[in-house]
Amino acid sequence: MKNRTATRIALVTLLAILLSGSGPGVAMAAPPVLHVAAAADLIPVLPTLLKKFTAETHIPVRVSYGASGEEALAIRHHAPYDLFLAADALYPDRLAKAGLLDKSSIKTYAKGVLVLWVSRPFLTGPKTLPDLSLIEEISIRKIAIANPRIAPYGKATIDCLRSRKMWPRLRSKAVFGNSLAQVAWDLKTGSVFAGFLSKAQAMALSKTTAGGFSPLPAGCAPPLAQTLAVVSRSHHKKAALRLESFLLGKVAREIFQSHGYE
Amino acid sequence: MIHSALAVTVMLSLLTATLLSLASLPFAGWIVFSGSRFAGLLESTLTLTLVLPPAVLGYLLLVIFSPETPLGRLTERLLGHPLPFSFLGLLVASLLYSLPFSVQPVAQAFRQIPPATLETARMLGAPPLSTFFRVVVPQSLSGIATGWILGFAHTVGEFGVVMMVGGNIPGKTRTLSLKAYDDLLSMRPEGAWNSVLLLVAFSLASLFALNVVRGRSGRKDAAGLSRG
Repeated sequence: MKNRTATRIALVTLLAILLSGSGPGVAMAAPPVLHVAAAADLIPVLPTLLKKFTAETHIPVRVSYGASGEEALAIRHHAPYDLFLAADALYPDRLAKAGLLDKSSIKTYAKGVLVLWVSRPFLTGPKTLPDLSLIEEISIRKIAIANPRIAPYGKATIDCLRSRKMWPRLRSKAVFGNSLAQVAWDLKTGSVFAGFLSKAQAMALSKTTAGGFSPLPAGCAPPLAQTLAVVSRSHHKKAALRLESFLLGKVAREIFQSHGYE
Repeated sequence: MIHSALAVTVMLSLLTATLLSLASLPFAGWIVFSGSRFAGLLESTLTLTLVLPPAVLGYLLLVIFSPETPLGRLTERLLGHPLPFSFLGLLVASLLYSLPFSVQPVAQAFRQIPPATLETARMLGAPPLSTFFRVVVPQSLSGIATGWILGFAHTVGEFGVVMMVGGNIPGKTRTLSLKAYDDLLSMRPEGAWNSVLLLVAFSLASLFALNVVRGRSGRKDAAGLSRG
């Protein structure tokens, strides 16, 4: 009786170990699956792009979203990604210098626009768009910003507020989201009424949440040159380069533009 | 996608709970019966991840197995890929993270065995190992089952560690809790609901199983008392 239980436990363990050796199935399927590490500002646009790409090439793509800094850390630790889509040019440059990305593959794929979002109750008139002076009002208690240490859009926000000498007064109002995705989520749930987003995220948010957004003045926040690059350790470089040239192509450019990129 | 996240979560939790149950026997045995001065130290060390923030544990693992360390290079050469950002890396992290939850109940069960029972076994000439497997372990089954269930439930609910060490890769290291987070942030709350419901179901089932195990052992104790 005791022995049988022990045998059973041993068998289950063995079976489980064997199964784990082949991974939980899916990922190992026959055609190579491209793994993309993407900045969170791309959440509203990338699924549309990748659907088109996969329909054209039959190459399936999987995406992990996060702040550019998070994804860079993962690549630094040899995470099995094939292509890195960052929200700026700094992270890819730094990784390429360390030999982790193919330098020749670094290209700007889109220019991201930083916008200020204010939810409806705090916009004075029905058509008024927010401007920077609005967030200094007492009634707005919290402003959501992507973590400037790991998210390029967050860094651009702080740079702009600093150059306008607004940061010292606004610092105590700031709440930091891990990435733009979390900022958008805070605004969507109504826990925060003002925040700095990418234009693409703001356009997506306005479909479900009442509010308005306007781009920051270009002098304060110049468009972010978002760059991509192929990961040096990728085993699917050919497919990764195909995706890269698709994202740089005309079809993709139109989709990027219709989602708020320049 | 929900299937692959479910598969990752179930596989990870089953493996973690089972391996930890096996490992908890020697660990708890040594802590309770060795009488060593270092037993307390070992117990504290094994309990460390109970208080350590999950993200810190994840970061420590990333640093230890980083491609820049000898250990990281060695594991990478042996496995053909770095340990983090793989299912195996997730498993190692989960084993460490859920260790106290599996060892503590087993140690508690061992402590409740009357010394007289062990003394009798010794006097009858049973060697320590056979006393352990034929007296101690059979009397601690409910503790071992509790440890297994807690290890399973705790692994299902992991977030910080799997986020840091796993990298949230769909089909490989994306667990249900990561998928729920991802879907919420991607403005796809309807996708998150599936994961959330499954997580609630897992938690309820685990707690129910825990109560059943405890109820049984309670009845057994009562029966033993009335007989004795």
